[in-house]
Amino acid sequence: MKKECCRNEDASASAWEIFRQFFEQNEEALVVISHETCSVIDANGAACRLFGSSREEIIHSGLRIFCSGDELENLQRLISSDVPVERPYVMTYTRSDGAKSVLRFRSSAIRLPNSLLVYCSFRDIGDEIRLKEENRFRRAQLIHANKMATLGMLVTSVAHEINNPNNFIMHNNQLLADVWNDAFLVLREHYAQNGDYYLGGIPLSEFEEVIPRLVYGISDGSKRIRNIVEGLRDFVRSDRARLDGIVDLAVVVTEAVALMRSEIDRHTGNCSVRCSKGLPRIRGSSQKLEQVVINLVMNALQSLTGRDKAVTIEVIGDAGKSEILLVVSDEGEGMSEAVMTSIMEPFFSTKLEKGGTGLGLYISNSIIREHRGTISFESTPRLGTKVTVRLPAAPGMEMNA
Amino acid sequence: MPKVLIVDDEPLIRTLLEQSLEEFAEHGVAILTAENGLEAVEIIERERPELVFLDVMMPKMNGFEVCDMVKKQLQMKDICIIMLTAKGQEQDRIKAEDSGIDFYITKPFSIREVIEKVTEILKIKL
Repeated sequence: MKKECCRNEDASASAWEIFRQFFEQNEEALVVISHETCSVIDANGAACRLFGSSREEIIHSGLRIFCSGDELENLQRLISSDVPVERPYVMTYTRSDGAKSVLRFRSSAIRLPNSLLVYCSFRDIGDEIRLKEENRFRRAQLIHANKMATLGMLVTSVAHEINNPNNFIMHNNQLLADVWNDAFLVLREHYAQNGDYYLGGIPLSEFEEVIPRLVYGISDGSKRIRNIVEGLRDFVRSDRARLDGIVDLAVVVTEAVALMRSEIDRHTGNCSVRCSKGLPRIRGSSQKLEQVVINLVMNALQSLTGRDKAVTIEVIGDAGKSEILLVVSDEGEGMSEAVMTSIMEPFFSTKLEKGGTGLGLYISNSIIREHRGTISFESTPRLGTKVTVRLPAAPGMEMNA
Repeated sequence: MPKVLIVDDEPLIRTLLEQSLEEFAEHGVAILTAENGLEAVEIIERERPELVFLDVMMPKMNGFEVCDMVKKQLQMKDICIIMLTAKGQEQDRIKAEDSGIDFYITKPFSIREVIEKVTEILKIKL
């Protein structure tokens, strides 16, 4: 009988110790509060670190340690409400170093035989908010970069189309001016012999003054066209990212995936990233290559028909050819032959009604070409698509075969 | 395009609210922000948002003054104003109703409640 009693005591001591360690070692800041009096009964180590106070100080200060004034009253009301709710609440708070931040807390009830306790977990989400905001800013920058790349292409092709005829105007005008100077001598001789006569409604006597003015007008106008076009080209050039950086494609992919995390989670629960270790670097612009990764992953995600369908992003080396391969595979809708032949064309999109611009792959392809790389597609309708981008390793940084 | 204005002088809360309404932004709702009462009135006059989340304690012009200006002086009564306030006492509720506030959410607040209010007022199903 006595033995049995000891065993029970041992078991209860051990259960208590497990609970104590679970509470103490929990990474979330946990605080136990009395439902009736709103006084703090216990706080774990994470709570002490979060609020920069000892357990005793937290118990002594009570809810005042979390907030003050009207917010404190509201917090008390929340905690002592009939059924503590599980939905998370947020509030501003001042960190122990004086910095402002935001606290998220959840509470739930623990019913004991004689009392009701409220169990709260707190988390400082200030850094999370800032990080998300930085990512959003970078995403906006990328979208801007994408638009600028589109504008750049448009400007470059329009500039080329305008410059050609403008060159005719400029050079032919000079030639005509020279011809006129010679012809004028003959015409003037005719005038000396026969008196004044009209050409195009203007008397010859006025031509000596009018023609140089017309020639100057044409040549000045043509120069202005040339300057405007050059200005547009310079504007586009200044927006171009430098292509002489040393880039680790695995890092670019990791950053792009981090940036797209919420987008990825929205489309699939099955996205994996595999980067081989020790790959050589490539020469180019990490910003532009990130744009390519984002475009390709976005296409893969948008082709999926369900959250269980997978997207795989790989960065691997091709030892024989000293190239780095970026492979984006999806289990999406796939593409028909007809679509495959047009995907690189500007303004071609299968997603026009969903806001697609038809420029993603066109721009990606031109960025890849700038990096002296290639892009290829393998696709089977209803089974998926595999896109392979091959980029040359930076000279002197090739892999050992 | 429906517009929602978030007014709070605390940048982290403003950003948190903006992030919480991101999904509405993807559904074509424009999310605008202001960091004080004066800026809020300017934006409300110019943009005429359908819904305003308004903090009370702010520099330059507090939430009650903003609400009074919008609802009474500018006669923009159809704009729904939700006050985000730590002041949850009875007299504050009366003051809030007097200045024409449509709803209020007390701080500490639940993000889910904010989302539910936007869904209800803009009648958008995510």
